[in-house]
Amino acid sequence: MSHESADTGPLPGLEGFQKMLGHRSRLGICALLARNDELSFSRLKELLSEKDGSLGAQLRKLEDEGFVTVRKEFQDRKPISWYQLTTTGRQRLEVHLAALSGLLGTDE
Amino acid sequence: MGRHRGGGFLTLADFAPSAVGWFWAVASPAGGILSGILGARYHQRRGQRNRELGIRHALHWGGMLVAIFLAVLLVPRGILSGEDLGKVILLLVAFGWWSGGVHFDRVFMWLGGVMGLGFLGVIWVDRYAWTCLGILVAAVLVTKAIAGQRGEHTHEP
Repeated sequence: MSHESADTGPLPGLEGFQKMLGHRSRLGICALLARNDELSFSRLKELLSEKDGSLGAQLRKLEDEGFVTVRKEFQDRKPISWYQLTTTGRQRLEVHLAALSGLLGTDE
Repeated sequence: MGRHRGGGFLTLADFAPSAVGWFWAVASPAGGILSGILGARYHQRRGQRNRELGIRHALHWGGMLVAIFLAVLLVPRGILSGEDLGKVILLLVAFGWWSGGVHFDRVFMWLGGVMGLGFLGVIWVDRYAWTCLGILVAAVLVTKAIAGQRGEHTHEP
């Protein structure tokens, strides 16, 4: 029995899929930053229920790929890292979400 | 109907009706500005900055304030008695909080609902309806503030 689908061409929207956003935390970070101007490391950790090390690693990857920028600040002598989605990051998130919608057939 | 002169809000309307108008004319905008500053500081401490949300809040609550100040004009025009102005303002505020609950935070709906019930109270009950409403509103505010404080603060290591 063949598992081949009737559609033989590439899956629609797959080309817009961003590898960087395939990870749960990275997608969550970008989605949260898209709805806020800036979020601190602590707030992201809280909202995503992540551990410090894991969140820090994912944020660094996003920063290296130009999805987010970080700004350091001191509040009551405590360091605070504020993260912001870049224009490129926002565009790539939109492309990724459109690709997901395309895959699910919900973009019509 | 109500015995208080000049209309007004909550407890003050039962015990110092002549001061109600001036008190709220100053307290409403001052309270709004203070609330905005405290809200911004709260979100800053919490690690969340959202300018667009701040603007939406300002437009919503500012719009409610403008509607209230426009309603005041009904009195000098002789369309509404000073006595009834407070009730109209209460209804405007109840709707403002209710719609705030729809758009921002469900907690606001509780206040809107309580104020809506309070509106029914002040149009049917002659004595101390504003005071009872004031106590109810304070109770809702305190309860919701305590409930909202649980497990909110985390700090970056």
